[in-house]
Amino acid sequence: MNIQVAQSSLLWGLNIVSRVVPSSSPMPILTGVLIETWKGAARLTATDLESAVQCTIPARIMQEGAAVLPLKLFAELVRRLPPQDITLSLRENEMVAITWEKAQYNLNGFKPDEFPKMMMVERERGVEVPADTLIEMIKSTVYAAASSEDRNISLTGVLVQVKQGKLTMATCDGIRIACISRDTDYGGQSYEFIVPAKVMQEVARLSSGVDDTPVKIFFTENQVLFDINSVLLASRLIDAKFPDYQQIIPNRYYTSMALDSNEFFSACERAALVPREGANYIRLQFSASGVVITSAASSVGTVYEEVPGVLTGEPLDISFNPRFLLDGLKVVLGKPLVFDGTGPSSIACISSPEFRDFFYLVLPLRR
Amino acid sequence: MEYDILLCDLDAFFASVEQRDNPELRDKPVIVGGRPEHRGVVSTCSYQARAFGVRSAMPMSQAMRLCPQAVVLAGDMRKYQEVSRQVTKIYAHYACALEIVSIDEAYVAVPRGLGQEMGCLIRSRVRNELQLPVSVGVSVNKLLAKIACGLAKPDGIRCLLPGQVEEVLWPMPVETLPGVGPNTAKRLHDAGIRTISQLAQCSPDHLQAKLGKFGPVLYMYAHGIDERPLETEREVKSVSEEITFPEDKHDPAEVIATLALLSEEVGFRLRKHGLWAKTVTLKLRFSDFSTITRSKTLSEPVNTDSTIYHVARQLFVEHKGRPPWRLAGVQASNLVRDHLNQLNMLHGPDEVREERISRAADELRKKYGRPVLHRAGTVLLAKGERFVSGGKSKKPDGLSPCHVKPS
Repeated sequence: MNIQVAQSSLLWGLNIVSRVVPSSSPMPILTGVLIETWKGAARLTATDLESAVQCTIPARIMQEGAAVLPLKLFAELVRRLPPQDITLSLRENEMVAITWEKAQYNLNGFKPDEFPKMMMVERERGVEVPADTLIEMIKSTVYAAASSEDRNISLTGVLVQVKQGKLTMATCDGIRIACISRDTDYGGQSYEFIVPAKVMQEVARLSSGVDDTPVKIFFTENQVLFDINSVLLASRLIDAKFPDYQQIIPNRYYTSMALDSNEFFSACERAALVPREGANYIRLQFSASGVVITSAASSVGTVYEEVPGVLTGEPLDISFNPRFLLDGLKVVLGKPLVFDGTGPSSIACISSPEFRDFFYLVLPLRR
Repeated sequence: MEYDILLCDLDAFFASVEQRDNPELRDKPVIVGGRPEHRGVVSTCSYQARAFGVRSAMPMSQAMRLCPQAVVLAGDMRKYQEVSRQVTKIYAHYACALEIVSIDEAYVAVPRGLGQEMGCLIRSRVRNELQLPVSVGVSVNKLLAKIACGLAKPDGIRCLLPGQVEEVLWPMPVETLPGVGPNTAKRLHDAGIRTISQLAQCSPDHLQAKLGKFGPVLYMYAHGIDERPLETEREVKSVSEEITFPEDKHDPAEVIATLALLSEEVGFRLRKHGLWAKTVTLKLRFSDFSTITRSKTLSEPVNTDSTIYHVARQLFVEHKGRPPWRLAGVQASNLVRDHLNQLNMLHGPDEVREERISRAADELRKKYGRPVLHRAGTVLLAKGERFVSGGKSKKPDGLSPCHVKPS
């Protein structure tokens, strides 16, 4: 392999693929980046075996071929190079010569044919989503996925459901469920799969700044591929059964209050400052005039705040871990808010008439 | 407002209650405590037993040698607690402020000048209504009230005024003062200080150099000055249970079974006080008396028996060292009140069942006055080891003593 690439595009490509690379691995080659010539360009690939990122950068090909370089070191070097063309050429024993002006660095690499193959995802079944819609959907749900250490691995991902005319994402960590649906022009069979939350966060990051180009999502039995303006992100799917969250959605609510989301969010956020130590809850009392927010910690002090609102149905006295309440409120911030309750020790719902097809269900603390 | 301070101390409390409720025991040496074959210790003994040299905290085997004719009782903690509550009610009637020190001891603050009078009233009411002897020390602070009470025993009242410090307090040994344990006493003795009088003649600086911060405090005590306020509400800082095995254990399974038992006890007490613990600590003593404590702090506070037990067991598995083990203890600390449990839609029958079991066990226990339900694993233990009763000491951060009760 012997190629010439611009420092700026090489650095851009390395930054994109570096997100999935583990800093250390029992397989040292996984800390590397695969550089190969491909259709008159250079293609960069990195993987941690669970997921892989690939991007293509313009290059002048003098000789076809491939090389694997330790990504961290290589990226550190490229970051410090002058903005000009750089030549990468493969020498004996996987060594790569990096040449510019009068300088040459020789870095030891790995055997390219030992680099794990990028997951081959059939581009048969797929759906297209505008990038901004995809980002909105991910940001509305991904925070409610369980932490990666959770025993129930299905909860560590984002459930994606593709149905005729509809794309839905849902997360659940046992305490809350976040769910959002958007229209699509997908006309095929219904599918659903679970994408690791970490990968979804990466998809949102890579999708920001690609303007209106739709993101193409392809999926098979066990893999998913996101094609984000020619940057490819492939991942294994989580092989587990997602809980049937539909059956948790209440049939009816006994308490419903329309509130100003900014006012309610700020009040809850302030109230949450006090009970940080020890008992960690804030109490909401919904009545005809609005909601009273109280919290207390014997070592810190007490809180009392009223936020006006319009009540339909029964009054409600309910307590939450403020973190779980605020997470859902953040999604509808700036929009009219509806808080729905089913009782003091049962599920509540946060939604907004101006943010359609989104709901956030959250369980309170037991009284 | 200034107060007189009374220290009211029920004389030989557990033994007095037993003698009151069983006329046959009156005038006999009565010892309440653990059985000698189980390495039990004397918890309380009647004055008739004290005449033979029996003392609290003495190994039961030694007490039996001193007084073989004594009637030994296992005791009934639930009854004593109930009687203690009745006594406290009487104190509370007269108290401007009340500090419960232990099951048989309380400081009562009354208006200045009324100490003697109130002390007599309290004594006669406890005697008439509950048929129990109580000694009362009267003074202006906790220190002098405590000293006075010691002089009043048994079944008396004694007033000790600041003007009498030189005459009464000074001839006493330094160990009489609160906070002077064997270590401090030894340091004072090494410096030639044996009586409070000698202590009072030292300079505070000299004592500070010798004893650190406690030096000047001790100097004030020696002059009868004590600024400690009544601790009217004692905050529970930790809940703990421990057990010295009747014989050293060689089988880890038996220690684990014991941890289950201790965890049930700790869980019960936490729930009784409406508390949750963030930290669980395991205490182990080996046959050579070396002792370790190992803790784990959890993200969510807990108070069910099983969660405490699982942490304690995990700590044991990680830090068990080499058998045999002499003592095992479980402590819950980093306590929070008003904790509300987070509901979880995926919590299956296990978590719900666990809470129900704890609740049911608590109810049964309240009904029968002792634990009725135990984890199956505890059947490994001999029958006599399956009943653990909480000690009376609830001192902050202290591991309270635990008695092995014969079943």
